Amino acid sequence: MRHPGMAPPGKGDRRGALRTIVLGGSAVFVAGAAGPALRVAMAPAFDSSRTEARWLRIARLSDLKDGEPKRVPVISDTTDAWTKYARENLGAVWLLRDRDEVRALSVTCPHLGCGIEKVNKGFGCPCHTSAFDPSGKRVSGPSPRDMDALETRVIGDGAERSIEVRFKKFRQGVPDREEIG
Amino acid sequence: MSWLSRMGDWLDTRTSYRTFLAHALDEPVPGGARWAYIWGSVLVGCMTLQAITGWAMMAYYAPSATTAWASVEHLSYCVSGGWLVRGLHHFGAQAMVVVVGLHLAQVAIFGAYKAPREVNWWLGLGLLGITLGFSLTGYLLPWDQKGYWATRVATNIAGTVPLVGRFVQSLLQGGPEYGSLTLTRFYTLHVGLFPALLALLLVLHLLLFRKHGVTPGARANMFKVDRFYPAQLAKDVGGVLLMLVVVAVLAFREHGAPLDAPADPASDYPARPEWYFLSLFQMLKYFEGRLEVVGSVLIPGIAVAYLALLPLIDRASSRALRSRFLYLVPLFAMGGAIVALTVMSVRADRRDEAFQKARVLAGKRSEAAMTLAKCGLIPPDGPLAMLRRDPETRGTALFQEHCASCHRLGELGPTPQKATAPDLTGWGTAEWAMSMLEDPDAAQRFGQTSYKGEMISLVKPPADPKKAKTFKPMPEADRKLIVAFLAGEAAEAKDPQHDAQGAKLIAQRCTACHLFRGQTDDDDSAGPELAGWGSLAWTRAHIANPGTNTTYRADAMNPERKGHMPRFDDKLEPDDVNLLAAWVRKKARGGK
Repeated sequence: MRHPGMAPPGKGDRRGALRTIVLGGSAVFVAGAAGPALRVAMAPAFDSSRTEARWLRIARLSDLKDGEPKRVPVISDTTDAWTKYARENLGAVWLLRDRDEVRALSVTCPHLGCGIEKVNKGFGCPCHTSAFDPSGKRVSGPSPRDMDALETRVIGDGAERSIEVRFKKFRQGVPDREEIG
Repeated sequence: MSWLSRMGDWLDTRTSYRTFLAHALDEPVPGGARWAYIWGSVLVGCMTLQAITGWAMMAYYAPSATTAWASVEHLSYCVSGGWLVRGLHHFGAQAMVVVVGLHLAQVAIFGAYKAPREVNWWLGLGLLGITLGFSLTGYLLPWDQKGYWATRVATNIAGTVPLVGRFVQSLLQGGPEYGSLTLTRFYTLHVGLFPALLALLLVLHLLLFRKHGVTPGARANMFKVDRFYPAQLAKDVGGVLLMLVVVAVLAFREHGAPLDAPADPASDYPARPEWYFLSLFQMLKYFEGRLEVVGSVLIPGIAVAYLALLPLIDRASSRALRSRFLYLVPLFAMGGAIVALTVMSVRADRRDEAFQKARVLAGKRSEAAMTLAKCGLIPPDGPLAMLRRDPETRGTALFQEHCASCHRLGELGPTPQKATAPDLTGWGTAEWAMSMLEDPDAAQRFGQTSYKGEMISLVKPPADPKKAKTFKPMPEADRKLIVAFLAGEAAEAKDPQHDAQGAKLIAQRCTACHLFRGQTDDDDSAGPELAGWGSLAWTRAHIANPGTNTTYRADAMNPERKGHMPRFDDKLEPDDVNLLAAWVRKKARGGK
């Protein structure tokens, strides 16, 4: 459609300057509006701050029997975004007692994070059938590594002896243990 | 041929996008490109800005009564750049209202509402309504005092509409009261329904605009014709950029957007709507009782109806301003009234000392909330519970409500002349106790209370000349021992045997009237227990009930003692009594 009196397209310096204004101006606007928004939306992905793992008391030694793994929740105060929780479930561990020694294995499957269950004498993941032996070693299935062991210690005396665990979480789906959070 | 143009060819043979683009951009602008036409595009710029910043904020916002304020606080102060995004959205919203006004004014003045463009005028009015709907719903979302109280007024107005009011109100609120369901509803409107409606009406608005083209001014040179791109679009982009700069400057200057203290249904808050609704707010002041609905619904309704009917009323073909002046007079009157009412509202508030005082208090409460919340310190039951448990904030509120009509404490309370109870500033210190021993009837002590004349000074001779003859002032050294003991009691000294000499002196010299460790020579006297005086337990017991011998005696509650201190254990929860006692002790010693 050509309107009478309308200048033909693409002629003159003024048109070129106007085009620059339109394209450059639009780019500036998009950058100005979307830049801060993208920065905010992506902020959590760039946050590398990490809280030091603490020793948390999770069970009494007398609650455990030799050779019988027990699943116990890990409860502690924690912060989720803006909220401070005084006592919240952080996760759970399998505790394995051998007389006065206790080992802790994270219940989180190193494959993709499902909860590992006790299967026969060992452990298994109900999602993708990764299987682990009674000590947490990988036997079969897609899990890229053994179950994640956590540091433990026994404190106190006599009947009051209790177990503390240094609770951490690890990245899933990779062969090496990589601490997160 | 570059790879870019080859890719363009590939796409064009499959989509004909170049034809679409050419059609969109080559739109003729009869009379030539003008700055007057930019407002529609600037509005689209505003909407884009709001959409982009809004999406980013949606990634943080949590709409519920316990999380909304917390999530906004988190975004504003704990997420890098969060304040800027919120600031851009906040001032972008205000820019949008201003630009809508300018766009409407331009269309009205150019006569662009006239046939055959009536439907587009109505679509524009619909878009105006949606814009105001965005403002109203967005104002509530932070769930702070400002948004909460202002929006409550707005939904209450909706509730006054005859016949449908109650239904509309509970539909908006998600029930008879404000709460989490109000927030989820307002959020749904703000980020779901309104954007969809806006997009729909905007597309129709633009399609009709393209169908009819711009409306040149009555005296435009019709031989001059520009293309939309780049001639008009360059001006439009200039306008959009100017808008962004203004919004960004405001956002930087205010370092984001204001956030008041968390919404508190129990507080008294000087509610005001956002500035562009102030004219409506001011108008409500002139309609009382049953006439209320005239100011709240009828007059705004008539104004909207006139706008809607304008293209049907003004049917002359001429777009010359002079020939349409009569039809535009109501519009100018509306604009004038909006400006006048807004100015009146602002001036009334500026002169209103009580309002200014309330604003200062609200500001302090907001600061207290920010200090407590920090990053990740809000309890699961929300920021209001956090404030309620904060001794500082809660203590101040309790003191203001229950104590400050009689007692002074620092800046709080009545003027010294009007106080009818001892000034608590310094209460529990040795200096305060000493002033009591020396001049108990001073204006700041018992002088203006029902205990005036009941305690004798230990340094001034009594008024009765007979008694004055035998009066011997207590030596300063003894007085110092006594007040040292009392101050130790008030400070809850660890050693129970502290200042034993002072305790001995009290047992010898004060129990003629006072109780001391439960002992007294005069069971009918009003003199209070001095053991533990000013301690937390003493203070708590005194606030709960001053007449139990733990502090003062039964006589303290004697109705003949006009204006005596009342008991509070029947009004306040034990937790509050405890908190108030701790707060008063701390404040009295100048603790912050």
